Amino acid sequence: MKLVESVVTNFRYAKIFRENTERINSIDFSANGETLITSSDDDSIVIYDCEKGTTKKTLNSKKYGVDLVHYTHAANTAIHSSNKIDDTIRYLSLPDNKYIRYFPGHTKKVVTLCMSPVDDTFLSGSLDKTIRLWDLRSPNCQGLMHLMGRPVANFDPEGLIFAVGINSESVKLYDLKSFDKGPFNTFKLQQDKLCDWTGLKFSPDGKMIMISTNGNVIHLIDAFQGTPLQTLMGHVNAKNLPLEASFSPDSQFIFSGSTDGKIHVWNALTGNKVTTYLGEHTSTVQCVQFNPKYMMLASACTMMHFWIPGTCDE
Amino acid sequence: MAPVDPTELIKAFKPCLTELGGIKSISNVPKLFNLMKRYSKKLVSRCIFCSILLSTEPDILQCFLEEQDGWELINAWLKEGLKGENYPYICELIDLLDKCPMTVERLKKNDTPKLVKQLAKTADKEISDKAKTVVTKWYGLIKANENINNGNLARKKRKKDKSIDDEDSSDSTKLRKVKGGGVLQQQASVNDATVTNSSSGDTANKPTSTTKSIEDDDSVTSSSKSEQRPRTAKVSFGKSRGLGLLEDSSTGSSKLKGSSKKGEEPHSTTDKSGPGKNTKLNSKSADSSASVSSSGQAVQAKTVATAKPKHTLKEAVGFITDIVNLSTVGPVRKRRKSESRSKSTTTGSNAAKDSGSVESSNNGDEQGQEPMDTDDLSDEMDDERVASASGDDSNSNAGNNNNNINNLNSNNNDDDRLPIVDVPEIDNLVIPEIDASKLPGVFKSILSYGRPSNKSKKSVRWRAEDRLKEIRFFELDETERANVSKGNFGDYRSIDIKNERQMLQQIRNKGIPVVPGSSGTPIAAPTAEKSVSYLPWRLILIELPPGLPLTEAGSQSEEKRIQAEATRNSLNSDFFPTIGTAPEYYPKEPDLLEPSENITGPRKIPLEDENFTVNDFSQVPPPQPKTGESYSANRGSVPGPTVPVPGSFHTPVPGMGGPPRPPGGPIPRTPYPPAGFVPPVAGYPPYAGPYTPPVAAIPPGSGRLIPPRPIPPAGFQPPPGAWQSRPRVPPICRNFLKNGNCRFMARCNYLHQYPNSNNSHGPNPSSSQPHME
Repeated sequence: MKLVESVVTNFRYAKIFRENTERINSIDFSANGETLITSSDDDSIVIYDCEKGTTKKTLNSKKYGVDLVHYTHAANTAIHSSNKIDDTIRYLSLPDNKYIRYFPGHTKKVVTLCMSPVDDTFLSGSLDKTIRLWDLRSPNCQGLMHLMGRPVANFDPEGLIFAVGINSESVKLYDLKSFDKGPFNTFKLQQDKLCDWTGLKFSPDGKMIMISTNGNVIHLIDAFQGTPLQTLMGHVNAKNLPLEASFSPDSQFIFSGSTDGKIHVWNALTGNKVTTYLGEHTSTVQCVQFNPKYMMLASACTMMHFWIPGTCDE
Repeated sequence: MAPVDPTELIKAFKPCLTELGGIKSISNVPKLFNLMKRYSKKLVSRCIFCSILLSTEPDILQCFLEEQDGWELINAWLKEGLKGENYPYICELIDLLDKCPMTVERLKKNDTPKLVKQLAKTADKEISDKAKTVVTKWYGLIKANENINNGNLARKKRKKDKSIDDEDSSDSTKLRKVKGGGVLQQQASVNDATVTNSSSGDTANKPTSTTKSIEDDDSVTSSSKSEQRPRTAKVSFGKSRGLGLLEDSSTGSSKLKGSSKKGEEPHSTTDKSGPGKNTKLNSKSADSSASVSSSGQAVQAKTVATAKPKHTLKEAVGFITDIVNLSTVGPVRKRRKSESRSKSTTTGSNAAKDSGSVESSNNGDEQGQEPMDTDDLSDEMDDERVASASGDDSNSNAGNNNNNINNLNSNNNDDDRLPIVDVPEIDNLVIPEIDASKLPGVFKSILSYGRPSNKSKKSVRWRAEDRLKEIRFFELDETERANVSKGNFGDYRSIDIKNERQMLQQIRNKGIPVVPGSSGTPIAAPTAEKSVSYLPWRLILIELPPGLPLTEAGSQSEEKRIQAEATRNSLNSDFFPTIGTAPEYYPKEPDLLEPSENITGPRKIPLEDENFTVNDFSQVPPPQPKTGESYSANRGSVPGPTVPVPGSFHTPVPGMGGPPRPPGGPIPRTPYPPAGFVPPVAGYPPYAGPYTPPVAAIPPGSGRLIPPRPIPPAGFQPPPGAWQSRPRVPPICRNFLKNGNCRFMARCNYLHQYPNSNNSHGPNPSSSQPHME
């Protein structure tokens, strides 16, 4: 089935989970779309089985806390940042709930963590105004970058370059193989005076970069030229939270959380609002992601919502 | 500690042991006991001691148990054995227990019987059998004692009035069962004939020894109650009564013997005269004082000249000792009850006196903390009680009088510190309590006071309702609300919040739906289940456009392989103990990458490139967001016209060159002509294709609601100079952008216009956003 607007408008929530007592702070689908890992402020990691629509496992990391959990490519492993004790990034083996490795270095809360789509590199950005490049195989930092403000960074879908958002006004593209030579391209954009950039994502087809902010605006720029393509508004961000926005796997739609408990959907090409989903979210929907393989959207406040197309024929 | 050699140990004990291995004589007992107490930490020595005791003669064993604290020691051994679950050793101990001469008193001393009873239920056949026999034996002992008690009681009953209800008597039996360990023991010893009864009058010292032994017992029992004054240590009333009865009965039985043996002994005389006196008193109260005084004279002939002081002295002293002998609470209380009851039944003038004295004694009693408490009885109190008891006539004291006299006698015999001079003092103390007006300075026999005119009966009653005190015992309930005003309010609040949260979690876990408002919990969730299904779960694969995804996820991941290898070679994952430490199978840390990198530290990621390629769009306002109107117009259907150039992204415009993936080798530094500001301008027009349609597409979308926007498509293709002129335009007002208005209104230095309207030069109708104007 193709993901077209009529399908997207017909998404219904199929399942709601109340596993967590606190806000879910990040979610991540596995690459094969079969599981979803979530981390919450109540220090638990919950893994959902997307094939059956059930929870699969709950882990607790009471000591360090969990934030920004991401699957790695190795089976059943994840990296996550900590929101207690220190700001070390931890590499966790999920079946036995043991840490494989620590990645110490950041001195303040980590706000950006992303895994390379192809290899073992990952990027982390922290409020200590640094971005660090790591390799899963080594606890030592591979690359370090000093910035002026809150960092945002991400890899492109091919894992060849990474983009760093600087000062909420420019995007710099680095070649992963020669990042120490500086950015090969810089896009300077009109500075957002009302808000900071809090997230940066490439579209799955690699042609767009989406910049989400802690205001009520999302920018869409061209990944090659930096041309501003769309400004997406309409969702609510009353609390200046770093709301997550995500592409659908075919790059056609953009889904974003909102403080009003709804999920807002835009057409990435036209910038038009497609629809809003109203589930049973009682508070800010902070995490929204689309399953990379299946027709399934996951959204989270303190509850998890799984959305699937309502009926086949519409 | 060196291991204990049993043979050595036995050798060391040899002088104290018989050929059989038992303790040789009583004189050796203390020595051995001390050894046992000190050196029985080890199992070996314990076993040896156990076998020594096993082969000891019963009478020596009795001594061991009685005089030394052997019983406690055995108890300690048993407990240790149970703790270690050393069954053969326990078996030995049970044998020993079986052999030990036992009394009810001793059984009650510690929890050995309980332990043995538990052992009788163990799986081990041998132990349970043995324990069972021991238990039956002991149970028989207790039964026998109870029978004796009942017998005594029955006898007493005969003496008492028939109005005494069975309930009370059974009550007293119960109480005796519970508290009258001393009595039981005493009686048991009578049964066992180990301590021959004093009233049998074998020797002149007999009564004394009896009292003494009783006192000893009392001190044993009361010492545990941490009595301060040994003299006022309480013995249960049941005991004293039982004692009296015992002596009575035994006197009755051994009257002839006793009289024949020691007729001249004062105690025996009183003993003998006791029952007779009682009956006399019961039938004819007038003579009682005379008879008592006469008997008292007989008793005190050598020491006291006058009868009256004699009496008071006797009674007082007797009572004191009696009280000393009484120890436990319930019976004493009951006795007083009988007094109070007699008070209520007797109508005579004496009754008033009685009640007065009883009252006073009661009051004195009530000064104590516990209502049932007699521990606080003072000497003064005793005196009062002497008065009241004496004034009470014989009704409740038939046995006690005898008893008192007995005790008195014995006291007189060995207690020479009671001078006669005390007598007036005591009397003076007593008199005002009793009745000052009725005693015009002349001391009569105490027994003449409070003599009932009619036949008063013994009775046992509870206190009058209004005199009863209510005591509530309660156990602390964990869930009970704490007093929030005490202590830190914040703490309680946090505790409360925590509990609330726990409860919430529990409810969620159990899936119990919460009725809103019933529990006050703020759960508004319609269902408390952890997961709720609304639609059947189904997975539909997305048909992705060709070429997507661009890469296979993790295709170049080394770690994937390493971890797969590691898990394959690892043991069960539960095997590894702690979280946070990298288990052994995980590859050693820094070896995975080139060491040089790790030594030099992280490579610096520069912010700027030497070539400095910048695509500057900072002066380009971001495209206008699609407004809610167009969204609502588009909603629900996919209007063809709004989709501008289908697949415009899949047909790359010339110049874009596809994804920025370099064809090979390093990414070219400058994929775009490094012409400073030109590239955006040059690069932008190609984007006009995909970029303009959204702008142009608005009119058809919004056209359903409002007239189409008269923006010519050409309006978006300005001459390049138009871009340069833009910087002169002031930036857009932040407040206007945010709120749609600004407090400076028209005076504002910044532009009150939405970003997109910049693109259209000239007046912008902005008909689709009426509120913006």
